[in-house]
Amino acid sequence: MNGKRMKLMVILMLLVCVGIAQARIKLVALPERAATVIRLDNPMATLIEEERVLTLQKGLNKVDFSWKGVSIDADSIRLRALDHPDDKVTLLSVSYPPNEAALVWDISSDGDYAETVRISYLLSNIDRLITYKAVADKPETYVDLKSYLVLRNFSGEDFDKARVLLDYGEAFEQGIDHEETKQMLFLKADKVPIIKVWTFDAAKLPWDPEKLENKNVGIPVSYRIVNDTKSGLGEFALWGGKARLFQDDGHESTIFLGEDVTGLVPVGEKTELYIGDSRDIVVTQRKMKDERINLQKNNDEGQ
Amino acid sequence: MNRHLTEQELIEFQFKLASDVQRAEISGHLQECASCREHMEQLQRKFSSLDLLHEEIKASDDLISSVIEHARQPVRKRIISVSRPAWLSAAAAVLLVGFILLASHLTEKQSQDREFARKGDQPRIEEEIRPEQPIEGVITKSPADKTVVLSKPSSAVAKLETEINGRSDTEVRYALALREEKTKAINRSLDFEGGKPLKDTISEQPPFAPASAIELVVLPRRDKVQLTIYNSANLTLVRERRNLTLKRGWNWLQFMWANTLIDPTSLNLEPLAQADKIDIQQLVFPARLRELGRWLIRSEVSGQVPFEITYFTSGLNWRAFYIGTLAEDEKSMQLHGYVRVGNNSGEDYENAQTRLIVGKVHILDQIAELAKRQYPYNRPGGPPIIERWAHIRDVDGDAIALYNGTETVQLDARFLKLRPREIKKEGLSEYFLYTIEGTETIADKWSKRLLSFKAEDIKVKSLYKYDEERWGPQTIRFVAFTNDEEHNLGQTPIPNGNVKIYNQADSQEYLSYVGGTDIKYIPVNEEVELNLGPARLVKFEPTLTDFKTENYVYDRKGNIAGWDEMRTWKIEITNTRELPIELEITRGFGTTYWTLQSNTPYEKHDATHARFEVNLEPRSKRAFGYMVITYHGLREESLTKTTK
Repeated sequence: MNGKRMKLMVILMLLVCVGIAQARIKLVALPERAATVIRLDNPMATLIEEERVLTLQKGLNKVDFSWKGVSIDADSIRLRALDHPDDKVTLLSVSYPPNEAALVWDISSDGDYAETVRISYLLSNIDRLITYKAVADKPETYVDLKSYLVLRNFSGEDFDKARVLLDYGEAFEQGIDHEETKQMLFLKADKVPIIKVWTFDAAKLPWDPEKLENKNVGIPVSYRIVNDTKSGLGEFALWGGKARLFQDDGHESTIFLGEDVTGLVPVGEKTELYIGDSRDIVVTQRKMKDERINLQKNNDEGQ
Repeated sequence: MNRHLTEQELIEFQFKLASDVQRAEISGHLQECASCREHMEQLQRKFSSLDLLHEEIKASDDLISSVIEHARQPVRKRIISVSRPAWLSAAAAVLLVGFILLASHLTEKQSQDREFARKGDQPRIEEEIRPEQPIEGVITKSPADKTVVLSKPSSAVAKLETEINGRSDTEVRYALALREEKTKAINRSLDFEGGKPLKDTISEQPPFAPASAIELVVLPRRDKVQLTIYNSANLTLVRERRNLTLKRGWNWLQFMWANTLIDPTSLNLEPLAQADKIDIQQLVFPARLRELGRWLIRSEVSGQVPFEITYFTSGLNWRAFYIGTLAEDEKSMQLHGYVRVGNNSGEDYENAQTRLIVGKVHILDQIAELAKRQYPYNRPGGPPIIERWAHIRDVDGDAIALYNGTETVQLDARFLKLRPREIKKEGLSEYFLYTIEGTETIADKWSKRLLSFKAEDIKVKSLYKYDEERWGPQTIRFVAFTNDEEHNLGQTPIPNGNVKIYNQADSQEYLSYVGGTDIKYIPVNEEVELNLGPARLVKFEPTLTDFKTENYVYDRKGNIAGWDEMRTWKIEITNTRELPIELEITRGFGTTYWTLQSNTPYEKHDATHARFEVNLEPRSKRAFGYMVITYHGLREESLTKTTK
């Protein structure tokens, strides 16, 4: 927990008392936050797990967990004793004080312990994005692919040092403040083969030149990338995100080809990134005949 | 000489650019005219101020030609934003106090450093390397920034003090920042060793970068700028090359883009040398600070490293347009293609290599919208909508800026002024890349027009068309040609744009305006027809002379189940022009079941249309007729059986 920031609102309090007064006047100890894990494997929600040391007394202990200025799903909060997971330290009940962003754990302890507990909760407004940057070679046969992880923290909470976990790969240590965004290289794969695809669909694109009235019809162009070992990928599913594609122009520089959003690409599957339209391929179609043939009639309608 | 000398004449005299005769005249005039003498002295003082910079940049011929060019142009006003002077004054005052304190400290420290440098005292060098303290570097938009001089540490400070005198508050702030860097450079002068790694270990933990709004910064020079401008989207890829001074260990590099239209999600930094020893670990958009990003760089080397920074910006644009001139016989045409490049980005781009992309690029978000975001990647849970239009920076166009370019660039510029720029064209993927020769300076709010191509003697076909369904009851004039080598074109596609066609009105090459239109993108080998609007001098009059129905068929109940309709049309065409014409007539019948009888040849254009092509002599009339039978209901089947 960052002591410098007054906005820090998650307060864990050990109430050394036997009952909760109605007005909730509290004399509390403030346990230090130990290891913190930010788990970003689910794009819909971010799980925070933090460890704290509670000084438990023999008998009933009331532990108050409250927060302010952050958005925690109260139903998601879980507590687990790590030192005495057996019957020596037992969570008896959880109660929610009225009109407060808080909950109170009743914990039974059979002795005086400095107990390490792990608290888990879903915290809103902290997440990650994935972006891709691909640079194609001049003949458009492969791309050098880079993927960036973008951590965004607008949760209201500063994390000085946290272990960040994705759904694969090693956890890494990273601090991130409230309102801070960090972008870091996440994946680098050189010479990933691509197939360039032009797609004309007469059901979607206009084809009668006289009805276009001086407008071009672009034929959509995509790069197809397969997430497999042949491509130098295939270790894990590629997360969805915005991809920006560039091309080596042969003059020690690149041009921007286009951008698209890719969905999740499981191992073995392919993705097609639409980069732009070709206007050098022109498809012209004209209806020359429109006839009904082999008509079957009732006797009444026939001649 | 009965008039005062102009500034240009004085400059040409001063730098011996005028002819001997002119110089003699000017010299004589100067002896007689006190006003011109004073003007001359003022100019000489102005040029002598260049000596301040002579160690770094020579006042070469190209500089002189730039000055002359500048003198020819009207003086550009320097617009200062309201908020800036107050801030700058405050900053200058604070920095001035800091400078006085620093100066005394520096003199002492510098003498120590020189002593250590002579002795080669290694422990002292080690003391100067503090891996946990990063160098704070900032890349700003200043076009006047300079490189840090590392080769002459002993003279650097004295020279710097000279530089500070007589500068504006903006420049003082810059110079003090430079001074700080020079001081650091002096301290580290023995640390460089040609970029070789030193032996001490780099801390595992990156240093803390304070989210402070008060900065003391270094301004690395923008060595090279390349702009790749798209016309299908408001997007420009900017590529800058800068030499950055890294220290071994952790370095923070800060990039600020206030008041520009840069997309921060596109920021990318790459080392162009020692890439295996330099690791760009992350890009941080700090909390509470807006419009800046910080790269955290882990470097195993110390010294200057060239870096490339790329990003997208909006506000730069280009468009193509064309001017065609038809020959008197309208059988050939001269076509000039132009591009017009405009800059509304809030940033001046000096001596930038400019490239234009022809093609339709797919983008998901408008760059201008990304530039306006409060947070670069927005915030989870949806962005709060905040309207925040970027303010446009003041234009910095004073004369000293002329001397801040490198010699090579200005040398190119001097020669390129002698002839129009050429545009090199090449295909890449589905795009065409137009690279404008040399470099261009495109100041904010300015635009430039450049010749893209020039094609002479393009064979064209003057064509008139009549199609009521498309253009109503009027004849439309077209000029048609093909984008191929046979027509002296065909090297590249022709980008979409407006075209204006003129006609040679007489032998004295007076022109008359024929018409204008927008053309679509024309691929190579594709025919283009320029629609020049209604043709007043070609009349087309269709008249329905007869209509009847026949061949009724009935069902078993006696109801009509099919019939034929016969229409007879008379067509009269009048050509009042003094040139022969070709007219394409398209007639539609509203059904796919039809037959047509005519003495004039026609072709079935598609299922519902027939097309005639007729030629008319100058000032002539022509008439022809046709009869069309359309089949309805059960009679449609009779046509199907006939055609089988």
